[in-house]
Amino acid sequence: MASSNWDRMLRIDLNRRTYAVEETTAQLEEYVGGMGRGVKLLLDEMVAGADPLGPANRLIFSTGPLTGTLAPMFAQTCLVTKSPLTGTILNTYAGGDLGAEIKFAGYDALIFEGQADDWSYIFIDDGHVSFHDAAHLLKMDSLGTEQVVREELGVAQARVITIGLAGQNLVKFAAILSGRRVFGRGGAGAVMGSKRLKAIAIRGTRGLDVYDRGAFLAAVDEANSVINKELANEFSLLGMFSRHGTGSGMGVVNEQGALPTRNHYMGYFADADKIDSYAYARDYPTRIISCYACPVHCGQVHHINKGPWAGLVTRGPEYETMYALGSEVLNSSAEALAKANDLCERLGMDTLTAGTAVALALECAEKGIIKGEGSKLKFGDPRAVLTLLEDIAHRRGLGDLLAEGPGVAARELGGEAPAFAMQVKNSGFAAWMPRRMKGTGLSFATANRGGCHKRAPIGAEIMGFVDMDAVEGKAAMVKEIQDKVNAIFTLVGCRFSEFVLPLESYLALLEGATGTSLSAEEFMTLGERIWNLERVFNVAEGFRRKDDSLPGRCYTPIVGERSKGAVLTEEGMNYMLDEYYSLRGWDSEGVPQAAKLAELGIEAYIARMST
Amino acid sequence: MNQSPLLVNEESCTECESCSLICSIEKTGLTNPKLARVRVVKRWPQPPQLQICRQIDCQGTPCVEACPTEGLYVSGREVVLKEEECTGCLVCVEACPYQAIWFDQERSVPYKCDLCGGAPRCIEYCFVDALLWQDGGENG
Repeated sequence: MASSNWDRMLRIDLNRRTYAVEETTAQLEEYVGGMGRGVKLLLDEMVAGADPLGPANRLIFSTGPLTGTLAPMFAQTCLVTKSPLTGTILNTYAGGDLGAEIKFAGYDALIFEGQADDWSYIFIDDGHVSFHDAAHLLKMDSLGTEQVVREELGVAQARVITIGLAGQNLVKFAAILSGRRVFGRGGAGAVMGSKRLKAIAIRGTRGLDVYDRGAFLAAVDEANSVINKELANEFSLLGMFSRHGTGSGMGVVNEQGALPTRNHYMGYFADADKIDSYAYARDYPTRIISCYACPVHCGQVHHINKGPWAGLVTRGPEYETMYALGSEVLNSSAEALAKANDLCERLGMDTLTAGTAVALALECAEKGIIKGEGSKLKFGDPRAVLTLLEDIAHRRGLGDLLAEGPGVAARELGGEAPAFAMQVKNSGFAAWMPRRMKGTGLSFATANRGGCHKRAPIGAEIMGFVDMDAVEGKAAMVKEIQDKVNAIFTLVGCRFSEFVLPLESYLALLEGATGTSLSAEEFMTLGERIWNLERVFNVAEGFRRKDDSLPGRCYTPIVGERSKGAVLTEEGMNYMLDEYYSLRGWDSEGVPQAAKLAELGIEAYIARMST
Repeated sequence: MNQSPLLVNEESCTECESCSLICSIEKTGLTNPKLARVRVVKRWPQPPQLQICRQIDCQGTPCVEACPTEGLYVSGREVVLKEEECTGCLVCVEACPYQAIWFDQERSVPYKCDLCGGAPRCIEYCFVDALLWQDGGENG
């Protein structure tokens, strides 16, 4: 029966330099694809307590049933692994066109396991896999590596995944690059580095089918119609992103006093309009780009044609990076921010956790917690940020400590540092303030991958559909968005698709592509099942309520304009957390109860939590 | 002035490749830009090259000039490829300045954009007007 799924995965063993094609089991197919497949595989294949930087860890690049098809807003690829940054299970996403190429090569997923003695890169050319020595690439940055790998293979249009120096040096928040798109969060780059895998090139020439072409194309047209209607409204989120990129919302967030500034000390950055999307488009030649098959085209390419870094071309920075390497460190220079963004791509690091680690260092220097040479660091000095980013990737001096992640570094630095290390489970905060947006705060605290904004009610809170300051009702909102986004991530839909596509649209696309028919309720339950599986994984690693917590700064009032005095109380946080655990069917320690797992049909995993 | 009914504007292209995808579906039933008759070649950081036949907008129609048989000829505003006349010599593939003629190994014939007989599907899926259908022109 025709389907957009191949029901085949490619497994590559880096110890033996062997590969095998595996059929997917019916049990795995129940998880649809993308994140669901990845979580299920990792949970089943990796024992609790295994070293994320050891041979037992897997790098699972998992596509969805809509990846590679004409369906709009399904360009991303999901990557599941155990995070060396948090110690939790991790799912992280890169846009662009990688996932489509994996599908065209004839696979739904790529699984890398083992650990080689020598550095290599791999070429997946449809059904053929070859291993190549990579020792000569180790001095090259991620983008340079991509170019050389293409030249060596003689395949100009191959998609290439790489790591940079940070991944090689096992920086705990190292990223994996797919062109200029980034698997940013959680340190997947360090996992790839631990396997001594410098790059993966892929070329796929196979055509992808669907179950019912007529029904599928009708669902595509319906989705495009809904999306294009939203895009026509220049004040909708997608309408703004489409015209000006994700950084177009920075002013809106800033006006609400919700833009994390100066290491989350303030919620308003006076110079926000010097580094937002409008500033870039005004001052530098800009070109708009899309992910694969996406009409939203929220990507922006900026040519920095003046100043100390004239000649630099970057994709982005995206909004989240404008915060992490901009407002959070009081960087008012669009040029320095572009340089910092480019540096993180070339070195291969998550801009978010890198930014929070840098901000931590700046504040520690200011407060005298860091002594000696590092004590001269200060906010508002972009050169210091660039130097620290290099030091982290090279693991030099203070950078070596920051490379362990902001939570770990703060404990080591001592004093009151842990209170202003803006992280959850050692993963840096995204660009949102728990004191201002309470539901988003609960999302950060409870996220299975730590400090995560992808399953937060950000749109509802920042657009004012709900009272952002209220704690009441937020637990239910957070649970719903977590389950829903997890479900969408089985198809590997873009996070932004949730802003616009109704559930029926996802289900119609899925049915047209694969013949799989799910009700909205079943789809949401799938998301909940995956959320619980992740939780089981984390509980088995020792995570409990104490880890679902926010740093002390979130419980002290915001300083400065627009949101002065806004605060989250410990009482409010506990109220939300208790309600959340209760709604989830988890005990007061955040451990899923047997009845909940049974209800979700995953009672077989109860035993894992008692090991 | 006579013009191709299909206007191509590479500067506007955002590289989503939807044109290629609907083209490959239309022509082969399967999805893969590598099967399409319009292809987007990314050239970071410059706008992409759009590989698609420019029809009579192509100066001197070199494929027609190069073809040793009657396999390629101008008809109205179009450049028409007639498979039956093709000997598979591939000089047209070499001659095309837009790299917009490909060779089907299995069927041993070249292929290129045929404007879908006057209603090209790619136009429907290009939301940024990088590909535009223009009516009018002397033969329009």
